[in-house]
Amino acid sequence: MPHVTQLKRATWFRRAAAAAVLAAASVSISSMPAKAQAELRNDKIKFDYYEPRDPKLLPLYERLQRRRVLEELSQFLAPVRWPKTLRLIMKECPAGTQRPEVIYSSVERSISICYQLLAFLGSLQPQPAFATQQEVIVGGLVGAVLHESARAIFDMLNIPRLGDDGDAADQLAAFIGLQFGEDVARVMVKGSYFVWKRYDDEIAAAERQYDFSARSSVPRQRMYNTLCIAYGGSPTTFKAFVDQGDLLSSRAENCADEYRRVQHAFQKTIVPHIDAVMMAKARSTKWISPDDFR
Amino acid sequence: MKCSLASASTAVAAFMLYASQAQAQTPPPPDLVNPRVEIEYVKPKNADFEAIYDRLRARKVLETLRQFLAPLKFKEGQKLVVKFDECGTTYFRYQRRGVVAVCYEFVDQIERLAPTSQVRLIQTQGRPPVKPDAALVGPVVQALIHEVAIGVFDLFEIPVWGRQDDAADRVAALVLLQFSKYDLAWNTIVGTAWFLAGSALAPPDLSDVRGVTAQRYYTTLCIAYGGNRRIFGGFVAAERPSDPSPAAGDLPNVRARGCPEEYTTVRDAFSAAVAPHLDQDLLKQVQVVQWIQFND
Repeated sequence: MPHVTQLKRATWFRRAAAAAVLAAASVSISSMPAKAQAELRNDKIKFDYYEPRDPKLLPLYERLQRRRVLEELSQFLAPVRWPKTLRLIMKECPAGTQRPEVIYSSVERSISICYQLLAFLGSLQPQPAFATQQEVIVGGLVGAVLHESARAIFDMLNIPRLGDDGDAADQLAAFIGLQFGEDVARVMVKGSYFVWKRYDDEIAAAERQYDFSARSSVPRQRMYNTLCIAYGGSPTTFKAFVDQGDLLSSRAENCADEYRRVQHAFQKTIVPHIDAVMMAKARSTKWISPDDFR
Repeated sequence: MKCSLASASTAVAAFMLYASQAQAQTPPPPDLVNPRVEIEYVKPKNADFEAIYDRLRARKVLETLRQFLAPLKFKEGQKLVVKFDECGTTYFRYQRRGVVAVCYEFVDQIERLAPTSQVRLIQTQGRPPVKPDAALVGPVVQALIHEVAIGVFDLFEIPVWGRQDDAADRVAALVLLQFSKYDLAWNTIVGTAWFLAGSALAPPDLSDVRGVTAQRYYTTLCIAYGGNRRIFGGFVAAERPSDPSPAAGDLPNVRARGCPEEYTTVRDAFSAAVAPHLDQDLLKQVQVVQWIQFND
């Protein structure tokens, strides 16, 4: 780990990356009980850190390895009975990669997390009353990784999806994010909200039209959809989003029902593919600690 | 007349919907009926909707639907109520009680947007034009299947990933596609697309649980194109040999490329999650009936 003074001298990118890495993929290994670490293991999950060509990304590459980010993500995903090998990859992605830069490939059966995503997350500047920058970095990363993990689950477990894949993955990501305690839920939802809001602000600033012909919901819809699942599942925790008008009351009144439907779909289609013992261990693990936000 | 869906969607109100007593050439057998499906035409208080009420009753829309839904296997004590009703708005949100409604206000909106004469679009070259009756019947049929799908998801506890209304749109398109034999799929889907294109001019509400109308338009066409590229290829510019330049209302190539996979996804999900609730023998009977005969 670099000394604090070294961090202070680092570029904004490196500082952002360092903060994100602290709790990337929703885990902080330093806070995990040793027993849980030992048993949250799935041989069907492989991981690799690809060395970036861009020398500016090399420190990040090295730090991510030291922080064992992919090892921790593999533990988080261990309770799923993957029928084939799932590969987790950290890599430099080509310019123009879709945002947020976490990609599930059904051909490779891989989830790639791009170093560039950390740069973007590090550029976010939330109002202090809403969240700290570190919370948004961690939550944004967790949300994006959970979304692509959900895509992997749908694809590899052949889960029936009557609706759109992207919306379905947002639902599953939000639902999973709510199952690991209030701290994880709050950070994941705040970070995801802020990422979608930033994308939406960029559309407005550039005076671009929403692309309704695209398969995916537009960022503002994804923002509301995530908030709604969160509020529906934990109204006390996320009441402020309704009070402040971020989630309109006309939508909010049906969020409990939206959450219930997702919960039902989860029980009926995903739970049969989950190792219950490992899942219980995962849920009892403290994935995020206060240190992650320093 | 050659124009795009978007620019041609401001047609005035039509008068011919449901007026004639058109009957299917292959009528459904009288015993093909689902007794667990109750139907009701609620008499509107607003006199403006009385003509719509009369036309829907005269055409026996719900009676036909009850026959169409014969394959649904309800559990003991379950029932599905389908009704036309005056809602005070164009949309009645399903409330988990097995009661689905299509609003007279919605049918009125459809009538206002339907063309009064046939419209040839760039996208319909080589296919039947948009016909006034199809532009009236198509969206009503789509709305009924959409709402029934939502009721069925609830009653049969079908797991739905993705937004419920989007799922219902995909299921409706999938169901309509199964009736290509009599051009029903083409006419109902193009009629629905006409209505959605016209409605898409309203400001979108991005906070709504439902997708915005423009998204519903593209998704409906995407499932149609993905499921039957030969019939619906005209909605993709690159597949129009005589006029491959992009036009308003086209499915963009970037979306179109994924449509076969979108179709396959909903088809497989339907097979896995919905089909077990259907009586396969009755389904075969349903599939050979010409359910709609358009007046034009």
